[in-house]
Order: sequence, then C-alpha cells, then structure tokens
Amino acid sequence: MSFSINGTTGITFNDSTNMATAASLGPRNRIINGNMLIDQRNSGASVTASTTGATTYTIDRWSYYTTQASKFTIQQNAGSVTPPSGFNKYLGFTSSSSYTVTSTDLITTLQWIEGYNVADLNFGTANAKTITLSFWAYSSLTGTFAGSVIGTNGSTFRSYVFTFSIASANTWTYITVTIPGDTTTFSYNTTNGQGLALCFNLGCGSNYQTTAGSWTSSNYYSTSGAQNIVSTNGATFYITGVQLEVGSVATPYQFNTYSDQLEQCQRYFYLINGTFLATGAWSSSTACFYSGQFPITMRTTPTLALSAAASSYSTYLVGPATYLSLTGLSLNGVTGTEWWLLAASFASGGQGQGQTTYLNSNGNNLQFSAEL
Amino acid sequence: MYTNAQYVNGFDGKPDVINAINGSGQFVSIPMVEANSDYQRIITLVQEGKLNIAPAS
Repeated sequence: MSFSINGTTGITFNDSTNMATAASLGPRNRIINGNMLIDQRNSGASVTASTTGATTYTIDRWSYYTTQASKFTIQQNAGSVTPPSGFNKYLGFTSSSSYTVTSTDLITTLQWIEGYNVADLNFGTANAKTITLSFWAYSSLTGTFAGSVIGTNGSTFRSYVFTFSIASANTWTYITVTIPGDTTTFSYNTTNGQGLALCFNLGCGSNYQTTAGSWTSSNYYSTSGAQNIVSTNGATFYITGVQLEVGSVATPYQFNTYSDQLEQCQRYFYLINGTFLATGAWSSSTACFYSGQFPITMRTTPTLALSAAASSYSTYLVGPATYLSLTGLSLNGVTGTEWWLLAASFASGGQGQGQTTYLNSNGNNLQFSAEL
Repeated sequence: MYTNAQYVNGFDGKPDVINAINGSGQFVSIPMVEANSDYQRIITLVQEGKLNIAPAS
C-alpha cells in the first residue's frame, strides 16, 4: 500500500480514495443504516403510505413524509436491480401514478440525525464545519434531482437545498455534495432531539422550493426545475451508501458490523417477536405485568405499538398450561429508556397474585419506537 | 392522525400514558414524555383543537 499526502486532498491512497481530515480516520458517518441493511419493521416487504401529513418509517431510520396518499411503493431492494459494488441493499421508491404536484405538496424521504451526533459540527456559529454527503443513486429518470439538509431549534428551521445529476437512466451513479457549515447564528439542537435531517425530494411544490446552494431560513426540500419523481407513473428512485461526514472530501462508505448497525437502529426502534414476548407476574385475577430490557438505551421513553389488537395476544397460564386472551395491553408509566413494563388486563381467569406468566405473541409482535 | 385517545393512570394514580389508535390503525401506547415525538404530535393536535383525550377509566 502506498499513499501520498498533499495540502489539498490530504491522504490519497493507491486505490484513489482520499481522507482529508483527522475525523475521517474514525467513525465518521452521521447517517445510520446508510447502506439500507436493517429493515426491522417490514423485513423487505413493500410499503405504501396511505396516511397523509404523517411520517411513515420504511427501512430503519429512514422515514417518508407525504401530503398525498399512496403515491409511492417503498421497499428494500425494490425492482431487484443489482446494487452498486460493495452493497447488498438499497432503498427503492416506485411512483404509483403520474401526479402533478401543487404548491403545498411535499413528498420526501429523510433521516433525522440526533442532535448529539451533529453537535460537533458547530452549526449556527462562526466555527461551523463543512460537511460532505455521498451516496449512490439510480433512477429511471435522468436530469437534475434535489435534496436538502435541514436543521431545527425545535420550532424554526434552517435549510440548504442541493442538487445532483443523474445522466444515465437505470444506472447507479455515485454522487458527492459538499455543503458549507451554517455560520448564521441559530440554536441548532445538540441533544437527543432532532439535529439535522438529510432529505431527498420525491415531489414537492413551490412552497417548499428555494434556490439551491446556500443556507436559508425555513424548511425547503427542492429547487425549481428539479425532478419530481411522483410526476411519472412507474418512475423509480433508488439510493444506498448514504454517508454524511465532516470535511470537504467524500471518503469511502464506512461499513459497520451487522450487530453494531442493528444496535444503532435499536436506539430508535426495537422490535420483539417470536413465540413468547415477555415474562410477567399476576397482580390480581384480571391483571398482570410484563417487563424486559432494551438492548441499548433508547433515545427517549418509547411509544409501544401493537401489530394487532390486544385480544390477538394471549398469556400462558403456567399451572393449568392453558392460554388466556388479553382485553388490553399498554405501557405502564414507569417505563424508562433502558427497560420497559407493560400492563395487561383480562376479563377473568388469572392465576393467583405473583404467579409467573408468559406473553404469547400468536404471531404478533411488540414495537417500541423512539424515532425523532 | 390519532383517534380514540385516552389517558392511562400510572402507579401513583396520575395519567402518564396516552393510549390511542394511530393513522395506520395501530394501537399505540404513548408515554407522556416531552422528548417522545408521538407525544409531541399529540400535544400539537390537542392545542389545535383536533384531538380530545378521554379521562382515564
């Protein structure tokens, strides 16, 4: 291995990759699951977002926001094309119609980065650091596409719209975008709330468009003239290898072990499935409590979501070796960020107080979400 | 985006969780913790007069 060093690109290795800053030598990607490997919610199945004005999570850490229902199908490895070299998975969007956006429409996929993970960028100060985005993109369309980086102080926004070009349809294209740090005084969140969002435009109206290439107040996602993928029926847009790092040079994608990457995702979403979901104890003949530990401290106390009605779960009565259906299943208020406690209710038929019982899934699961 | 919202009392007899049905039709149990983004959305909907939360039963 040989390498060269100069004052412009830093260290250049003999495979032509560059590392321009000391930060490049350690963990550097601020995006989690940038190679689209972890998909706890859907296990590779297709998703169609039917709820408008709301966020739908697809592949772990990647959300989809839309003002129009059912405009895209979203899937890990949609279309089954060969990913770029070195990658096995990608996040794919397929337009379900040819929809002409109105001024108030907004359809985007994005990842919010936790404030702790971008605090060192010093955004909103004179010492703001330059960052570089790199990713692979593939589309049935060609031309100019757009995305943005958005920050917030919890109530107002700052944003930087960028463009990128895909010259050849249905061909993976490596994109790099260097973004100057935001030196305008602004209190970016630097704790466990929303820090910076990386957004890719899928279709947005003029209310969410601004001039590309500079920081501005408010939240913008695209620029006039950029592709709105939603406008072409059957159009595809795939991305993978997404990396956001400090410095002005895009370094090779920082791969993690599967277990490390899963753990990063589980800070924001934790899925429990299997036959028995938890162990508990009866507190009366009609109620019991189940508890468990999260594999990693979650970002905040999470929301519990059930994949089916509570009555679809059951509890196993150890003594008589029978199952009893639930009438309710809820978080208990003392749940923390490192452990959880659920309260279950029953019509009748429980065992004596203190008796052990098991929460049976009947093919359902428990979903804990602390997403941003 | 949320319906059938209802407070749930904790061990101290005070509400600390809100149970509801989300926009996808899923039952969700939301802790009343400021940093929880679902709770933030619930508060916004209540402030906008778009959601009422029933008392704990």
